Amino acid sequence: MNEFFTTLLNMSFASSLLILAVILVRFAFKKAPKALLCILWALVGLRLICPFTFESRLSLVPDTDPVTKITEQAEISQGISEFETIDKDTVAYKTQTGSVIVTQKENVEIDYLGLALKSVPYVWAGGVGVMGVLSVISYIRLRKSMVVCLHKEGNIYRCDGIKSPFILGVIRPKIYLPSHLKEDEQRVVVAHEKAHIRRLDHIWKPLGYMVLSVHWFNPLVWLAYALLCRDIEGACDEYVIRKMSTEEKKFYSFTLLSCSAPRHLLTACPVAFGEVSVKSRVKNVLSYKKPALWIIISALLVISLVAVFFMTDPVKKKPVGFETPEELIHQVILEQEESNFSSQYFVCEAHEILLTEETRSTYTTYYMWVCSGAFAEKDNELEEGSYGLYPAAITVKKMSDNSYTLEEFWIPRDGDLYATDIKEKFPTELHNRVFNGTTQDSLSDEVEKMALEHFSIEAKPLKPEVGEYPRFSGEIIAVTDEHYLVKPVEYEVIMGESYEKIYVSKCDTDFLEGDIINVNYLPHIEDSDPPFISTEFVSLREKVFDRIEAYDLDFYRVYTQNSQQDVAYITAYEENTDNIEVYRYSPETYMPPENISEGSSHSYPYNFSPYLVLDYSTGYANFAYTDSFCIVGFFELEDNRLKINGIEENRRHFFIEDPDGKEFFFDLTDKGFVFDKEASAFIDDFPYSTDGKNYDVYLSHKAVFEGPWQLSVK
Amino acid sequence: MSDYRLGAIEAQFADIIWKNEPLSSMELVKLCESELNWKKSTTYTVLRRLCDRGFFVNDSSTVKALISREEFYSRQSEEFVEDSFKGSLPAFLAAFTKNKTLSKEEISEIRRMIDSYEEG
Repeated sequence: MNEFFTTLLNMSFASSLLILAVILVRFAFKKAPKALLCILWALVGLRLICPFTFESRLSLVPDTDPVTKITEQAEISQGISEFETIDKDTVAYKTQTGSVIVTQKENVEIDYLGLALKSVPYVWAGGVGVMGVLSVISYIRLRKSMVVCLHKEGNIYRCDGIKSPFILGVIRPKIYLPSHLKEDEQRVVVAHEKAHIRRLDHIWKPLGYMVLSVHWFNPLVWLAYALLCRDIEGACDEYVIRKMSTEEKKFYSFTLLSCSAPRHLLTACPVAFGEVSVKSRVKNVLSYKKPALWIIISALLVISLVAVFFMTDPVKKKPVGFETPEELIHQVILEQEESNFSSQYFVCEAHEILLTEETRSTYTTYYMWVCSGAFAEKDNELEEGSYGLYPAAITVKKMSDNSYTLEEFWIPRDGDLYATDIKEKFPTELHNRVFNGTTQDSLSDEVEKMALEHFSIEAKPLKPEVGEYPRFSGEIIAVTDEHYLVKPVEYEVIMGESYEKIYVSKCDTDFLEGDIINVNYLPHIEDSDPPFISTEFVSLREKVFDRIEAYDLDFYRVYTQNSQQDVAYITAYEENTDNIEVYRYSPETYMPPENISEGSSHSYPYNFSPYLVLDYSTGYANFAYTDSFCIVGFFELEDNRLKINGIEENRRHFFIEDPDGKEFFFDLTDKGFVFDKEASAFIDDFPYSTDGKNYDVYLSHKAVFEGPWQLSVK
Repeated sequence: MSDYRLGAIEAQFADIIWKNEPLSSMELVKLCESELNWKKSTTYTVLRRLCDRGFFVNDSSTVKALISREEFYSRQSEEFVEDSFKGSLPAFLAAFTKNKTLSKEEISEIRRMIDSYEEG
């Protein structure tokens, strides 16, 4: 039911109380001037048509909203209220998702309340129509009876067919008298009717009827209208007779009697003389005394009290819910996090709404990604108490006072049920977004930023700068005629938050930080060269890999679902165990430099084929990384010399291939590998020789280099 | 002649006819216009009603009386006729208003009330 009818019914309800109060006052103050009673009825009329009013603590109107309670009841109901009857046994209806169901009538649960509520506007309009038609009919009948009329004087007419005097017309009201009235009777009646005109009763009564037409469903309003008519007549009588003598009053009463006719009260237009409760009017007239001042004052007081008590609305309770859905969502998410943690932690959240869906008329569901965390501060660093990144569906209900309350806070269950839960709850169009995880990094960043700000910790740059680690300082320790000694820096593994794990090159036995999975979980494919592990899914925490290729069982390239983007390398194989370390490598975080020039020291994040670039002209040594994966061999330091390990004896010529497919050839000399410029097809494109200097490129697998090197000078 | 009443104004109209009958309907219209300020349609409507009730007859535009004035007034009844509206509305509305026909007892009771009233 829309707002119009809700307001209408609420007005009717509030006015009913006012009407009862006025009736009480009327009963208690019988001696009061009827004109003041008419003021009370005017207040009633005002309350019935004006939806706005003042709020006051003195209001006696109860703060209930029965209309909304009923509408809500209908919303909750499971039955259907909109259906089409196909034949006597079958009905068809639409479900919430829009599909049409045709079924047996007996299978369907009909929501009668909802049905009733839907018909309210039509029933009401019908009632108003009936009221209008009634007034038109009575007007026509009246005019028919007025054929035989004679103009007397001014605006006074005499008619044969009418039984009781009345007034017709709003702008230029005319008085119609029964023709049988004698002259002195006519004078009395005209005085009365003129008083009506003076008091504008010929306008108030039709207005009252119109208000009644709108509130035709409320029996108290009918009662009010009937009493209003009586009081109008009474007030008019009082107005006319207040200056009359006893004899004149008697005569007036007698005229009342002789004019009385058992006519109904519902003629909308005529303001009549003799129709309303003759006996009580006569009594009133005969017993009329000009009211004492104290009566008038106390009556005015009562009117004011009634107005304050019943015309005003009660001060509205504090809204039940939140002012906006956003506020509610924010609070709900925080509380979810807070419930797991003590109050010392600072809780914050960020969420991204993917879709808003209105499920029923006052219910809205928001589908979103949520990132929330509880943080503490320790040593000027952020300590994470808890952290969650998850999809959620929050359903919100809009209350009658326009505030919002929580209807449902849904999150998927863990593990295997995660996917099924999401598929069930979330709309289909969102499934891809949720499962493929469009990065929620921005949400995580936001949350962390909020926490950092809260504790006033300066945010550290999240990603280490490309080229920072590992660092090979190129610090020359000693120089001889033949070689340079360069002290390498140990490689550090960065496990910053933006690198989930750092991709490091293979190391034989040393384990660096990272995930550990049991290699037995990786299904094997036997007898493949290079040996492939499997093309099936392997799940690693939340990461899902769909193919793992094994090379020499020393390292594996693992492909994720988006194999272009996410490539992880299992690089560490723990000896005598079945454990291998898995690292995830994100190529975007690593870019080979455009060139290496004199004096520069470039460092790269880990790759697994670093090669040592030796610049003989300057004596600087650098490690250059590509993601080339072709194994040639690996080096070791032995006696301060680069030594080649694990290479077949008859192989003298080796190459490495960089990601663009360029091949760099090396000759194995007793000095080690020497870059063979001629053999390397793209020597001009060799990225590390743009300045035309000589470089030696050595290939190495080892991530950790110990001890100083000795380089042979070419 | 049915319905023996004549309203006060009908009586004036009847008087015009009684004074001037037989007369043409056109003349009657003219007289009604000047004396009663009636439109032609009103004159004809009232004439037709009185003809239906047997007072007069409009015979090819000539209006004649079927009963004389003296005869009429000697037969007139002074009964107070009750309103015929009661049947026009649904019963519940009429009942709601509690405005039944004033019975003879009620009328006399109220008359007594009025008569016995003294200022005091």
